[in-house]
Amino acid sequence: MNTPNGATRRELLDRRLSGFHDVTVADVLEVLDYLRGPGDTVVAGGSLAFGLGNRLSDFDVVICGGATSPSLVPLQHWVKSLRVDVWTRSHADLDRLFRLAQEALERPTPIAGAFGSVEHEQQLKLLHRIAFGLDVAGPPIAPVSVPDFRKVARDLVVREYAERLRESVWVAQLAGRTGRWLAATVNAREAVEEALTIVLTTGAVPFTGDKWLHERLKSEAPQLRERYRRFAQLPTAAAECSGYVRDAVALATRLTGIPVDLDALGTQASWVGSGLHVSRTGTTQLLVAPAGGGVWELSETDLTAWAARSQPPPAGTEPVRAVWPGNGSVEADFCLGLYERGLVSLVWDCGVPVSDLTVEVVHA
Amino acid sequence: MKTIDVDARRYAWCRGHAIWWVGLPIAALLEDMRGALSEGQDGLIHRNARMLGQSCATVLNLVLHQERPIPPARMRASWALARIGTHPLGQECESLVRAGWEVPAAELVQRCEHLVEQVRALLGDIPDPLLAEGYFPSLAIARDWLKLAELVGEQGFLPKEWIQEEGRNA
Repeated sequence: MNTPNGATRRELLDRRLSGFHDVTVADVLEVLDYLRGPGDTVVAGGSLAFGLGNRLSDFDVVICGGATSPSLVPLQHWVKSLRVDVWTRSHADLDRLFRLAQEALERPTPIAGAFGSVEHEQQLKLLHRIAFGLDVAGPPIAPVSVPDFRKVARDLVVREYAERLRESVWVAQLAGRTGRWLAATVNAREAVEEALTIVLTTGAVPFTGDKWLHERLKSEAPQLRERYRRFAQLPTAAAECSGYVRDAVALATRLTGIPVDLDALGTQASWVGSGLHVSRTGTTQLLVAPAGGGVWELSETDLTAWAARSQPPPAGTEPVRAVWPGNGSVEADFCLGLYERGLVSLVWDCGVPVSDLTVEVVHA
Repeated sequence: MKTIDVDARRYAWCRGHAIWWVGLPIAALLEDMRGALSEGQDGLIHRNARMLGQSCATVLNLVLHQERPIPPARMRASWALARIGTHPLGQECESLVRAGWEVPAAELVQRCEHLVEQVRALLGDIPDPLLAEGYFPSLAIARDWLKLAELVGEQGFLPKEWIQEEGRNA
């Protein structure tokens, strides 16, 4: 997996922008000049800057300076037919971001609970734009709050995807066990793709989000893409689905070393619901979620599963919580049903440290 | 005067979210596919087609059944298709979710364009924020729905990192 140097990347980027939009990086910088202070750095970091993208891709840019005001949303600009999305950050913002990432990596708790909005990819992408983007103006950026900011950016993606992968393999197998084959196969396919993202990122390929994964595999690891091939299409027959899930989980663990034993993983997981109540009306038992105005009729089996919950004392004014262990056999189907309806969350006791993985090394 | 057969809070929440999904995430998925077609980026097209199938299924479930809350992404396909899988548009959504590499990329783009057109028709005229002329009109529509959500005491639909100070770097 090779990375061209800055001058070559700039030339490639100019060629792509010019071919698609008759625009150069210099034209973009001219339009964005009003956002830049003296000495500010401009980093190109989206798909176009990484040799991907197409004529309809936006051009993602980060402007960073000593006193730059941070933008909550991308600031949209047009340069001829090229849409340019600009994020602005100060050096202190970036230092803080990398420090938070480093701290999240050092904690044993899951990343999803420790790094705010990381699930929306935006912060992961921002870290990688800074770490692996192309500086097109101003001095190079090197956040000083952590010893190796590129390693932090890589490790955070690996850790985040390892935790997603753990959840995917667990949900896929659990859904398969309870005959929910669409949920099982969807999660199994996700698991394989998450494992591939871990392999690529560990191999120093900058993270560009899920949508570019297969284009990345084409150029960086075509042999991995072939191993994925059979998982692209979801089967329908139960027997085929069962084999699909089994093989997907096996491939994911071969690629990353992630533990996949359903029962063992279940001991680390809990289903947590908030503001749920059961109310009887005559002979009918109802599950009620007053905050969302939702009501569902329960069967006797559901009621048995409902009774298996624990209720930790509420903290302050928060609604009463219901918690079920992930390894409970009676309530697994009921809890998965609640999870599928967005009524409970899946909470893990611990994260997946990068050091626990044994990631397959891939050579292009 | 036409009665809307659902309570105001559920209507505002479900319809507001549907407008948001069609207005931005689905528009972005489709735009990526169109751009990828001429570049031979069929890997992106196959991935986005299934995401678009899942997203349109979610919107259909919001609009046709006023289902809420929306579950995590990994459960959305099974959640939505359990309710709308027999609807003709739901069947197309499921077909896209399941589609493998044997379906030609050009066909997927065409099918997705057709599906989005039909789903958008259920919601009325929604400007495309990814076009220069649609950016501000789409913000105006989003503002209208956010105001309605606020009026009936519901939370809005914007991503939390857009509206929360701590979402920026936290």
